[in-house]
Amino acid sequence: MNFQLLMIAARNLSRNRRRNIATGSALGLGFAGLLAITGFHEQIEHNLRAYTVYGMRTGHIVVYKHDGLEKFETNPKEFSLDEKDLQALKRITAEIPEIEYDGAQIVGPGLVSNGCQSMPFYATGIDPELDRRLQQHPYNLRWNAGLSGLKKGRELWAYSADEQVIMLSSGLAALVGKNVPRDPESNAISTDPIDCAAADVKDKLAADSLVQLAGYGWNGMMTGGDAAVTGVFATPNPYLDSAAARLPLSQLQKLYGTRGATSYSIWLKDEDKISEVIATLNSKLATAGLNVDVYPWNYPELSAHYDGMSKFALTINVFIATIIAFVVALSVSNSATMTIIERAREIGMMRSLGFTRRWIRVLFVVEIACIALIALASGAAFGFFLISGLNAVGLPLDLPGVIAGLKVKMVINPETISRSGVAIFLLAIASGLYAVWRVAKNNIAYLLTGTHR
Amino acid sequence: MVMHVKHLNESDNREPQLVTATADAIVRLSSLVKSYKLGQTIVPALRGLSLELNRGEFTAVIGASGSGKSTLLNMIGCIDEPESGSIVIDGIDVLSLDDNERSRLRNQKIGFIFQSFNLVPVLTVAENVELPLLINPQVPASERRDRVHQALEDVGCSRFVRNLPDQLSGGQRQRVAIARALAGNPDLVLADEPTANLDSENSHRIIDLMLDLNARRRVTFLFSTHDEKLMGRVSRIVHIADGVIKS
Repeated sequence: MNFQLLMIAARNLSRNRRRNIATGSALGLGFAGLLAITGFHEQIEHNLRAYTVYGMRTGHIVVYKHDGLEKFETNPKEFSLDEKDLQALKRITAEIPEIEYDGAQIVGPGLVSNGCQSMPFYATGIDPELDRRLQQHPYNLRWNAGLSGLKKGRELWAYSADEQVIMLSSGLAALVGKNVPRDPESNAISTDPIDCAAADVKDKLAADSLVQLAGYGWNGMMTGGDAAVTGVFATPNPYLDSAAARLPLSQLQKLYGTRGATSYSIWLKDEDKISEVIATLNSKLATAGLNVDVYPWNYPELSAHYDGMSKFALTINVFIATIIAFVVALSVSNSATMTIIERAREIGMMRSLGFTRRWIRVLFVVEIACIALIALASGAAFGFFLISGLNAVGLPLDLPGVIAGLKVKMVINPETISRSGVAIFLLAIASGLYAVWRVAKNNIAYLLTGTHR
Repeated sequence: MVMHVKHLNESDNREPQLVTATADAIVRLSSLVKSYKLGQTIVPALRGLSLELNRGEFTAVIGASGSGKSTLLNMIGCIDEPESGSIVIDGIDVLSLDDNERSRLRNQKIGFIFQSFNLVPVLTVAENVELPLLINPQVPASERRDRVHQALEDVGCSRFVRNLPDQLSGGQRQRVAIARALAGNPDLVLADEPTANLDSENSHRIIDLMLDLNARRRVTFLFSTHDEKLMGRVSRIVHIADGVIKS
């Protein structure tokens, strides 16, 4: 590559300044647009990931009894992890240093009653101390704060282990009239009989945190008990909002009459190591002879909400990014074609002096590359200010299928910038190359007379 | 075959003198046929044209518009292809070469002078002259500057080295274009109506310059022209009409 020729190509930028500025503007704005759309997609990914892994307590890796993911609901006793499985899993996970947290969880249906009215619930039982760590994890605090979390009252971990407590989703709490969570200091639970026909029954129910729970034990027997509503939590999923409940693991185990669990979740220090840890885990589980299945957090059947939302967001964002790319490509290609057609005689002259088609392509591509690099630098600065501004304004972000309010908080990181930059740069080069390729392939005599096609 | 060709004597700067050229052919064209398609009409440009140019000749191609002059120059310059016939430049069968080989041949053996000068406006005079040398691997970087200065001195433009083309007159620009054509020390220089955009005085100066360079550098010149006043200055005239050579 002849440096002097490259410098000549760069110097050609001074010709047709207006057009070069227009081309550069299209590239720069396209880059800023791509930065915004990729930043927005990153945000949605982080939101959904944090909600799924930490908010839903799914974990980065989940262990089920073999076929338990599909069949636990219909036969919990057979397809649950028993006490021995849980002990073995505890021992094995303790040997893997990449694991940050781990613990068993139990899920299942039941009825919650305020004494006058009963509603079905679907509850998650988790160790309150584990729950505290998960909810206070920096990643969860950063990305899940607007999606799920405590709306009123206190979390499970604020109470002693022997207390019978429950947290309700905001919709379910409204349905059973328990919108005033229990104050742990006053510990006020009414034992007075409730007259469900009384005019002030709603106020009385709301002032009283006590609810009655009924479940269907894994041994086939009906079970029940009392619990105090300690808090109301938000959930972004409208299907869960009117039915979700959270209890300490031991309490839900008691309701279902078991010491087993539905699944065993694992949270990693570094989520990039999921595959690596799954491989290690599978090896250790096979050695221990455990009949279990191991899934990553984003396994579609495990995290259907994440899977659906993520694919939907990806489709929308790819569509918008494609439109941006198309507009940029068209703009660069048109501009490059006009420039090249205007300079066809010059190309003809250079070809007659001995420049090969390859050299002509190189010279024009270097010109376009110079424009693209300047445009990318300007576009990055503009994109940075645009995204920072939009983030600062705090525009509301309403995602379909998500009821919790989010705010636009696009992510700018070096990876996003470099990925978008490389995409725009390659697009510019490809568009310019196509334009010069079309003209340079012409007969030199036609180029010299301006009668090229 | 020995051909007597008139040439400018390099010892005399004022009046062109005639010398005898070597007679080996640098260009051999045989039965060239070329036509162009204009809409639905096929327009013949060359109809079995044959021609030999000897090394060192100073030849003018004359003929009416559309007679095939430019097409002939394009064929010799390897920038267009005939439908049939053969083209041999300095012993090389041009039609057997691929595009890159022809580019190399043009770069190292042929110089071009265009009617509208075709200088690159963003490059200085020196850079314009240097342009074909940049892709000539036979000319090392250390030699380029000397070649450029020599070529510009030969055409009397050495004082314009740092000027841009639009700071020069038409005649000066054509001189620079001639310097560019000569910088690579070609065997053959093709000029398509090099004086068409110049006034009479400048036209004569350019022809004088070309004659001078033809004599001093022993470069073969072939140029097309309409200007009858220039015809008496050349050693050989090729008259072309309807795609064939009349005389």
